Amino acid sequence: MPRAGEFTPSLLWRDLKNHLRAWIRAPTGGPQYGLLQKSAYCAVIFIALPLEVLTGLTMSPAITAAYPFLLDVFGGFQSARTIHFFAFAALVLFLFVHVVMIIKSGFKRQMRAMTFGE
Amino acid sequence: MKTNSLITRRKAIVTRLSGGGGLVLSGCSRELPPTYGNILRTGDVLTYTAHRTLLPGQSLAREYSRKDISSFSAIGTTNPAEPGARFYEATHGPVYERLREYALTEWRLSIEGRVDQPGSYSLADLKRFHMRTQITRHTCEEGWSAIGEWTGVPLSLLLEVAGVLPSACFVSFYQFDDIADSIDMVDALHPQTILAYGMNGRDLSIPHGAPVRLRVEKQLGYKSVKYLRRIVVTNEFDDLGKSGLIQNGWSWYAGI
Repeated sequence: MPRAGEFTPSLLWRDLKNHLRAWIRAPTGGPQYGLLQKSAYCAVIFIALPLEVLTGLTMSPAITAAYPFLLDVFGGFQSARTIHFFAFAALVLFLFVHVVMIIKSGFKRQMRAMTFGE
Repeated sequence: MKTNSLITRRKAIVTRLSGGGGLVLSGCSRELPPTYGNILRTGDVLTYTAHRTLLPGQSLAREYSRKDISSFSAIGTTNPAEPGARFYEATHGPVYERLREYALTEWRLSIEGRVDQPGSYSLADLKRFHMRTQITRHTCEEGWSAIGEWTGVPLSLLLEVAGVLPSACFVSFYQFDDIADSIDMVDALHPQTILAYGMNGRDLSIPHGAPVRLRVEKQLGYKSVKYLRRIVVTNEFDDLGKSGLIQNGWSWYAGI
């Protein structure tokens, strides 16, 4: 989680510049996540994934009959479907970027670290 | 909802019948659609079981107002009498053609199987029943949806008059083309499950399933089968042979 006071414009700007330079650091063996990373992970876990589940349920005629408030929350079946699609696209992009990063930062070593923890 | 308030006794019976759906169904809890050894179909059965266990069976799908009615495309079979059509059926296609010539006055809907009084009903017979009008969203599995107004007789009313037996679990529907499908008793007795003969204030058109189609509002659009000719109530699950939608790659339960 980002600490309070970490969200200053200058820190955010520095992080953004580093990311745009596509400078991929060798793994350090410890979690030293940048601000954008923390924000991205938070967005995936607390926004995109719950949104996927809830908009998915809103597309079910059986479930919206039981819980009609879902239709009101997402503005109806079709807008739930649109939100579902864009949240899905964001998650696929997130996954794709991470697979690329794993490959660029030493595929074998990263896989070993993930599976055997060394 | 627009109702004919004259027949209150019948309405009371239906309400009781619908409300007691769970009770009527107690013998059916173990009857599940087949998976044919297909892992994805296991998922379908899981969804069906989860919905039936966790969701209240008689909650109503949202109903809209007249101004929400949208354009409504007709897909799948748009005329069962058309010999070149994909699901043309050689026996009943010509029958449909002849019925149309007589303005459907000869049309009969038969109810058979696990009922006390099997019989057949003409369009005029169906229109004598207490009618229900509902404006609902049709959700197509292709992704589009459309809102339309449907007028018809609640299936639960017809099943009550036919005397559906307590052991009955499923209701199968046969179309004039080569398509048949079934629903369980929870959906069959649902107050919004109607045999619709009217759409948007007019008689049901041929592309939309004339003379009578089913409306199952808590499942995807393809479960609302069109061009009805025969209804069969069964104890066991019937996959309806090669005409059955389940045999043609469709999910049997489409509450999603």
